[in-house]
Amino acid sequence: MDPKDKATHSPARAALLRLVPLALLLGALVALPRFSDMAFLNAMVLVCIAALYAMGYNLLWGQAGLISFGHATYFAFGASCTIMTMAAIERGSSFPTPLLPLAGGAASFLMGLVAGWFATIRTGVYFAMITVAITELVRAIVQRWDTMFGGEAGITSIRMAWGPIGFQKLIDVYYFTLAWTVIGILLLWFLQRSPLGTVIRGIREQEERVRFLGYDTHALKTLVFAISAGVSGMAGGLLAFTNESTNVALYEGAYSTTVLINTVIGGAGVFLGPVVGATLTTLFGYYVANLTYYWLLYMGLLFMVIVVCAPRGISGLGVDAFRRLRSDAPVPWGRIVRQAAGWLAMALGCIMTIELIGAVVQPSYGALARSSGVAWPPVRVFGISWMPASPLTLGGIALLFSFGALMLRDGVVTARRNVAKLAEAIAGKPEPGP
Amino acid sequence: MTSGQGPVLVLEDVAKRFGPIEVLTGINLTLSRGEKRALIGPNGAGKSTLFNLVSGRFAPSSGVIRLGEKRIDGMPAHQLNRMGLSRSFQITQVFGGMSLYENIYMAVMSRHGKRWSLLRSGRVWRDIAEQTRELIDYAQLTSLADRQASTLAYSEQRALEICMTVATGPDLILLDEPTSGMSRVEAANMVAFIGRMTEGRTLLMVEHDMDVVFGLADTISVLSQGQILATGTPAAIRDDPRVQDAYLGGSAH
Amino acid sequence: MDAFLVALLNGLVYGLLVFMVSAGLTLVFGMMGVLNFAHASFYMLGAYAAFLSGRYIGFWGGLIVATLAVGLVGLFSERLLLRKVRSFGHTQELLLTYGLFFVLEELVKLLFGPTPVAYRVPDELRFTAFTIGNSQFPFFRLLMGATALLMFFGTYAALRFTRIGLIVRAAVERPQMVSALGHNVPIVFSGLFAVGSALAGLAGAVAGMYYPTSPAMAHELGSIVFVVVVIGGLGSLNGALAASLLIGVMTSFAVGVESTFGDLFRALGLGGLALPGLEAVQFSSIAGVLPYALMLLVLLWRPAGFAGNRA
Repeated sequence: MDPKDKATHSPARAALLRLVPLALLLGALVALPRFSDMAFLNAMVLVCIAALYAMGYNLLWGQAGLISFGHATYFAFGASCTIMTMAAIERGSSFPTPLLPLAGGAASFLMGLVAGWFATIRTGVYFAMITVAITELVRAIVQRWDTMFGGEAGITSIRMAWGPIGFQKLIDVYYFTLAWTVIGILLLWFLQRSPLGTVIRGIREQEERVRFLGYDTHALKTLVFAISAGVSGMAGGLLAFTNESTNVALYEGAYSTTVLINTVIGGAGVFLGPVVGATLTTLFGYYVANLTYYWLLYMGLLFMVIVVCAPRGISGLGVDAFRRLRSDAPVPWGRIVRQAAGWLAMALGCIMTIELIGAVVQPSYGALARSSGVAWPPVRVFGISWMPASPLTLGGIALLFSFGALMLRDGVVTARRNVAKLAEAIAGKPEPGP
Repeated sequence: MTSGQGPVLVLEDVAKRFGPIEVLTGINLTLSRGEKRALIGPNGAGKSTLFNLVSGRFAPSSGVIRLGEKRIDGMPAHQLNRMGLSRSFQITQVFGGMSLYENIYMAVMSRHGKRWSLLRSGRVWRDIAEQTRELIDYAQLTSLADRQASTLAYSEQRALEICMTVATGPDLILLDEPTSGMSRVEAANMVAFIGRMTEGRTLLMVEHDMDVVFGLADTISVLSQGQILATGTPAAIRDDPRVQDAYLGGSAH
Repeated sequence: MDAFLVALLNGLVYGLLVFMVSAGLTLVFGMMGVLNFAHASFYMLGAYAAFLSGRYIGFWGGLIVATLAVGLVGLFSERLLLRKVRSFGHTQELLLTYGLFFVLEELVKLLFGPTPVAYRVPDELRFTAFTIGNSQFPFFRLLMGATALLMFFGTYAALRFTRIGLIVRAAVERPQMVSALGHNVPIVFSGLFAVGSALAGLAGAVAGMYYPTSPAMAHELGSIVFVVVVIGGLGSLNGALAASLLIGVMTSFAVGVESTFGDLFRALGLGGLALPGLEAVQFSSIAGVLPYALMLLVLLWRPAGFAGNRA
């Protein structure tokens, strides 16, 4: 399927080239608890959950070409149903604890069958709008149905031991989450490689053609939607299992947005791209969210930059870089350094601006100004005190932006050329639209 | 699948209106087994509409369409295909991201009823792979089998399109302007190619190029102002004065 | 009867408000196939802009400033952002406007905080327009309805009787054709985008006083607006109007209904169907669900929407 690189002479060698890094990565993940502290292990549990969620989500996008803007529903429903099953185990049900994510997955799969049947009546942007509306529908019901879903207080339960496994220690939870994430991703891999996977890709490319080859595309898309929902539900189940609680806030738009952003940042076109995105944003979020109130704003800005400048996401950039390395073309170090410097300057400028504005508009800042008698008291960013109104600060920010723009000018030209090339590649393939 | 010796396709009093505009009125048409029929007519005569009615894109406003014994008007496309009707598209619709082999493989899979499979093991999958190979060999596209479809030349993509149309094993093949956008030489090659690929099968096509029509069809129906003006052999149609009138004073397109 | 009339009027006013926001979205969508996810964010921006400027130049000035400012924001987002990704196709446009939606919400949180701001109906407009039975109908609601009606007729007239309107209508139907006829579709489109944004801004400026002005208002109205576009049909103003009014009136009446789900199940002879806790839930508390349920029904019955002929 990939255009044949001249270095990959045999398929066996190409497969090995892919498998070895993956095996090393898996080995590192298995060995992780030996080296890691609790906080990082905790973060990695969240990374696994986010990764599985994003992979389930990307089945719909990367394979079937359908972008859902309301996947939180299936994630959250999986969590709700898992916690209910956990509560049932607590009351004496014999449901085996290790299979809990399957309870969430199955529930979301069923819900996905119904929702997907409606949503896939239409394609393209209509599909997107319908997914939003269905999410709102479910959310409105769930938030009122307190006896079932626990309302804002949520439902709590505990992980019951199963045989010799207690599931009480973080390390148990980590291995449990990792195992289910790997199982889920393998499932998706086999689905992609299966004959059904081929048909699904066909639907993305030429739906009408697939229909005229005798396939019921509406039924197939409904199935894909349901599988995607089911895997997302499994991820939700893992979250419920880890937290031993859920609440209706999970049904809110934020969880639909996160998975979409993870997928875009990681890249929808590469199989493990969403894992890359989920890992980056989750780890950053885990450590950076404590440093700034505006973490979501930065994430949104990064998202927009990626959409405009690198539509195939970070993994797409990685694949391109890898191809270039293996070809004989010289590495354009000059351009790479210029671009990196440019983006760094832009990012610093943005962070300075946002943090300064954010601090200055706080009511407490006004109070401070009055009590201290200084019109513009200093603000701390990056551990340094800045005078927000001083020409030095403002000039510095302006300098960062202009330096960034200067460095990136060259990049913009190349990006335009790439855009033109990509557009050419896309032309002839109709976009999902009205 | 249709069976027996009866006609493959029958249209009875078929009409189609879009709002107040009557595009087709009282169309009667019968295709017998093995017949190769071309639909011709001036622009706006309703050829495309008729084609879309038969291929299941629109439902007729009134009238009956039968494939073999079964009524098919208003039936969804995928069911039509399973009943033995297959169509090509005027604007090439191949799966650009897949190899030529995979394109045809998907069509053969559908013929074997393998539309939901997660596994690729068992006898039937060997058959599917074998038949895919056979068809590619027969079409003389073997050297292109591993090429990604979007990298094929236009005429090769058209050939692939025809191959996929044939690969679902249909009783009736509908071709929508199979040589549109091709040069003289390419069109002539395409006529030979289609002739070989559809040997012994029933064919209904819409085509502008008269060389192609006379090269492929053994009967021709002329459509004018939403009605069938005449049906007959190419020679009879060529000499029919009404047809020459319809085509602006005799100049054949 | 009085309660009925009041509920009807309230519903119509809310419906007209929804229409004000939907109109721009559906026209832009019909003309270029761009679904602007951030359209409802412009509605939110309108409310904040009017709140901010109204402090200095009064209520009416605030309305005008909000309309113009949001129109400009719309114009810039089309020219500086959307154009950049046009060649990638609709998916990328959709993602970009979604990013914009997200960033605008976070920006508003940055500047004004996550909780509603005190944007209220000015005192001189707080009086009763008329009384129906025992129910008073506040003047401000009347003003909201009147603004929306004025806008509807204005838009309709502009589309119907001006040359630009003709181009827009034609371009919604057949974009390539209009461009082939030598009209500068991109310019007309930018203009339409700006006007649509400005209308959303005006709607926000008017409605923000009545409903809470908070960063969440974009999300709340946005999903309703999508429902309107799906139900109304592609690029159809009439369809959007019908859908908006229907949703407004439906929601307004549902709020007044005191029955519960239990009553419904019993009425349907399904009294035994004991879904835990659901029978005590009142319809009025989930009136917000109705638009979405209506959308699902319309999808079943007429997938292309009320006025849709192009799927």
